[in-house]
Amino acid sequence: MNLNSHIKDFFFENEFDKLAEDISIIRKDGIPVFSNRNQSSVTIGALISGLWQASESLSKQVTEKDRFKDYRLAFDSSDQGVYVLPVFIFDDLYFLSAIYNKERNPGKLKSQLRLIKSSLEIYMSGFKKNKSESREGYLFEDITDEEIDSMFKVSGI
Amino acid sequence: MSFVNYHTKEVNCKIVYYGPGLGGKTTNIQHVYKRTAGNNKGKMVTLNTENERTLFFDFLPLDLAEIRGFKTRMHLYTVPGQVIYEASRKLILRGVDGVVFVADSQVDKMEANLESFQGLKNNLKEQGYDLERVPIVMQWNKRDLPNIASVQELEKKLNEYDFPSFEACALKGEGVFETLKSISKYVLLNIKGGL
Repeated sequence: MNLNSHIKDFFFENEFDKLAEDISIIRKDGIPVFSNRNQSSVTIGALISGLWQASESLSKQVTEKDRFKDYRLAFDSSDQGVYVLPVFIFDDLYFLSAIYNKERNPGKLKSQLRLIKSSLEIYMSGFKKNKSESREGYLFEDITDEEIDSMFKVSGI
Repeated sequence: MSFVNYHTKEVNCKIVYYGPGLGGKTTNIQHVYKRTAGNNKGKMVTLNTENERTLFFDFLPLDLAEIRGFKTRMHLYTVPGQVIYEASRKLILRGVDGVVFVADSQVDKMEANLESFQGLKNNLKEQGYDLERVPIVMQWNKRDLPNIASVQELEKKLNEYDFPSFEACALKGEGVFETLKSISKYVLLNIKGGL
């Protein structure tokens, strides 16, 4: 089991994945570690990460703050929108993002998401960071040009 | 920073195309998008101004075949080249694993190339990167145009670190994959975390 599996279990066992059209947990650099739908999750990860980082930079125009752990990011109308919260897992920053549509009570959804954020942080604190995520040395000692060519062949290149 | 999932045997890497405005960064990844088979590419995202200049970034996720049992996905980003978007460039460079510097070969673009490369050096340094340890590949783009600087001159003025370099005409697709394959190799060789 690793981080992705724990997060997946957390969402599926509690049925939190059903709260909105798209619910994702995204690493700071935009790589999704959980999504309730596979389609476009990588794209959503890149956009959410960019959105958060741009918003942080905007906030820094008027504040000295360099940590935004209690911030929330919302882009919404009365029944649809995007809501992003920072989540800290093993002291690393992740984003909990929800994209919703035709939501009757967005206020309630946002409140649920804030509770999920706290619950997830508590849930994950019960696990230890996988040792394999802090290995020494290099993953690949050598790679030939032929191996690189083969890697790209599958893409039709 | 690259992300290796040992459980699912997946490697994710971030490659940023950097360079002066209108140098061909977006054209590079547009060509990759066009040429890549349907199942292996994700949606290409472009955040543009009304006149199709990059405003924030372009993004293309690219699934490649396995290498030594690891599934590989390259996340290709471009930065906006225009001088006023320095803040956006800094953001996009965060967590970068490798950079393709797309230089415009035209003689009258040399100043813009130099300014952009200096910006890249400053931004990487500001984020704690050691320039000599970050995989960087240089691309001399627009080789099909008249009034271009010689490769020797581009190397002398822009490639003081002797990074691998490729001639290209991104609009025709020439040199695009050679550049991408090269940066992919250096990025993969640079991933920390032995088996």
